[in-house]
Amino acid sequence: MKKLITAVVLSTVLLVNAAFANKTENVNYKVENAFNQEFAQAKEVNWQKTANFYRASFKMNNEVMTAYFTPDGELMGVIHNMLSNQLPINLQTSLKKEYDGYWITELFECAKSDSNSYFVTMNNADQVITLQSVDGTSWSVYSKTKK
Amino acid sequence: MKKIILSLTVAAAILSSSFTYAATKEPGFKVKQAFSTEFTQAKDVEWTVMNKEGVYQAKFVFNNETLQAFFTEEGDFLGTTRQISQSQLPILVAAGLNKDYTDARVVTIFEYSKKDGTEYYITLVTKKGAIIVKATGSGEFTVHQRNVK
Repeated sequence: MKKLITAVVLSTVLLVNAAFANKTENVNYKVENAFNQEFAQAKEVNWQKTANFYRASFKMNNEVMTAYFTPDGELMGVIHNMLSNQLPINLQTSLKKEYDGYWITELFECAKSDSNSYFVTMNNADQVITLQSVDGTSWSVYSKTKK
Repeated sequence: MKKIILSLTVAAAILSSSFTYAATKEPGFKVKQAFSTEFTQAKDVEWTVMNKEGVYQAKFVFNNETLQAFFTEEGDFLGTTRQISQSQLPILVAAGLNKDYTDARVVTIFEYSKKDGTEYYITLVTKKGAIIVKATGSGEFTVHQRNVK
């Protein structure tokens, strides 16, 4: 019985390793090299390939991030879901001042090679509003829909 | 020019471990009004003034975090500072830090949020000694101070 359990555990480990190995093999050299240069200390990297781009999910500073690359290794962008207290203070205070009565349903940072933006989606009883901050100083309305 | 000097004053205050030149003092109406407009839900507010420059500092709790906000005597808002962790850095700053300062140990990080943008002051210990680097939100780094003691 013990031998059987050991065999099952071993085969499971081998299968999992094989699955991850295949995912890594799917990434071409350019993309992998670009990723390693950009995110030197990334951990738990997991690759997915689509028809047009590569997607890497990974951890950096214990935060989960997702990076998108073209097949030529160009970084298209990085997405990081975040909590409101991770926003720069001026963006937090302007949300409190100007959107009192709304609740946040989604908040993420989107970074490209030389710029970063924040997107926040908020609801109140009547509408859903998405704001964008490109320069980290103020919010602008990205989209607005009535419920 | 005055704005630059005041901004540098705030930067120095961020990086100073003790405010030896600061004294407890309640500000005038203009400063208090500017503060309550900017921080509608602030709690436990304590005021000090940096005598030399006439800059008021409010230390307070906002969203369960301790912040410092800086104002001129005329009630002009200079910015807000807070200590943050590495996980709170913007992606490009965190990635740049990992890439350009691989062997350095991060000691403290202060966020300095102003009307025209946010800067990050990061104290690092490297093999050559301690340095303070300044980063913009888009990941541009400059050395702010070398040989920090």
